[in-house]
Amino acid sequence: MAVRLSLGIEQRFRVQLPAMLLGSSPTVNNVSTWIAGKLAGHDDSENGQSTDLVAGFLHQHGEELTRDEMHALDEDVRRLAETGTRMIV
Amino acid sequence: MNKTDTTMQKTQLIDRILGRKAGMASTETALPASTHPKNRARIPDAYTRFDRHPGYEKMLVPKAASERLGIANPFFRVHDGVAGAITRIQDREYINFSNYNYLGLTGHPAVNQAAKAAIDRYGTSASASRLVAGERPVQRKLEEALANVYEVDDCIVFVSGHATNVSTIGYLFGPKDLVIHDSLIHNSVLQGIQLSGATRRSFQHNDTNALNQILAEIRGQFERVLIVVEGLYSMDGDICDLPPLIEIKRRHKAFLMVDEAHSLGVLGKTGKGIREHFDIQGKDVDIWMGTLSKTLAGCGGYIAGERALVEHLKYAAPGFVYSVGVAPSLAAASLEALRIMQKEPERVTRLQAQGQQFLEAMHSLGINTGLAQGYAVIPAIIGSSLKAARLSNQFFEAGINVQPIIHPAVEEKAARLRFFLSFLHTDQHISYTREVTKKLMGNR
Ligand SMILES: Cc1ncc(COP(=O)(O)O)c(C=O)c1O
Repeated sequence: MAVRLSLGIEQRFRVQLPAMLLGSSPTVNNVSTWIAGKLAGHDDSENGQSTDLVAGFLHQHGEELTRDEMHALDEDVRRLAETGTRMIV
Repeated sequence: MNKTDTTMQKTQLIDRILGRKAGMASTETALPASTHPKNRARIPDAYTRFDRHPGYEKMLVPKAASERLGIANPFFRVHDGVAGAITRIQDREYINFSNYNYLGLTGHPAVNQAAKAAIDRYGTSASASRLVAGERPVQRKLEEALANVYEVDDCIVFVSGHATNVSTIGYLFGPKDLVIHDSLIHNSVLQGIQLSGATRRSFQHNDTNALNQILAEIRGQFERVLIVVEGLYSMDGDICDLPPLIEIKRRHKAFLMVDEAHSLGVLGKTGKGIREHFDIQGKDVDIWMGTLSKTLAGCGGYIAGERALVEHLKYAAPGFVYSVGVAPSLAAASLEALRIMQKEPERVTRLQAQGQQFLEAMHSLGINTGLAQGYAVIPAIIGSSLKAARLSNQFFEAGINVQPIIHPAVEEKAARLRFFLSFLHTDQHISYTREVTKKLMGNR
């Protein structure tokens, strides 16, 4: 059932559902919010991994950012990953 | 899309779901059989670097976001002295709502004195596991005193509250068992269940009907069943409904474990926790768990219950057998703190009054305090993590230290500021905090 549903969703919306979302206790509400967030974000998949990280973060933490802000944030994350950083000072 | 495509996708999807779920268990078989150069080249760089660990990469996002938005890191602030109702951070005094000094016993002269005397007598370490390195009388005295609080046979003290849950649940239960817990249960319980290999189920927060229903359906499939709840929920400030839980655990022949980390010193007329609050026999709960780090001004955790439970854990729970005994100074501090709690119940009474007063102050401003019932833990629910962090910084500028709590410590999009009340907070602290809250959050 979960498999058929997620396959349907993946084909229809061209998004990959994280297993976490289905593994815990999925509700129509949180799955659809996730999809909406994903679609509202951007689907330029060449941007790859850090875009997913940013989208995941925004979703989990209830943040609302514009497309431009998301792109900028994405750049920042990429830069931090390259240069390294300190999280406790 | 043709039929084979779909089948393939289906298999991939199933693999993905199973792969993630199986998680740690499957890593052993996933390791390449040989480290032949050809195979070595195939191992992705990310598997060999901590800065490419997915957990770490994920942390870069809030880091980047807070830099971009100019939000200073509210975590790991450095305090210069005893943290009570007041604390010193970088040469400035703050009204402090970020500690567990519920009854003002951390830093209490008598508690400090007890710890010092224990150091003079035993030094600073118990050096090894009590099983082999032997006992210090103060460790036993603390356990006896705690067993008395619950009016049960015996008690075992571990070196950490978190490890207490991990080791106790992880050791006592196994793959044929079920552990069912409240949906807001503390991480240490979840880790314990994972370690145990038992089936894990959760029931909607404080919904005893749901719990009853699930057990009615699936109890028969398992050998031992453990129900785990908290006395006072640490992120939300509401309490569990203990009487029906006891009835349910009897009906379904399950064990009941209550985590009293935040209830001791906070609930009940004299601070004995949820048991006293509901006037329940200690024996009606199978496993009482608590920590020394909050009301008891120390560091460590405990399990209190029947002798067969406690002595079994003392000979077998890995977190006890293969870990050092609690430092005598910490045991002495907690023992003295427990004595003061019992000698001076007015501390508890005052803390409860402060909690109610604080809750009313927040309500009068229309602040969303979620499920809080006015027992020392009172959240102001914000939703967005960045907003919560920014607000925490604004409070800080106004001289108030209150921490934001964000996912994964709480559910997604449920970030909050969490106010911990202490017996030491004065009416002025609360009214000043109300004023600042009004200014910062008044019109939400
Ligand atoms: C409900 C609950 N259980 C267990 C623990 C772990 O206790 P400690 O911090 O003393 O290790 C905590 C506190 O962090 C807690 O809130």
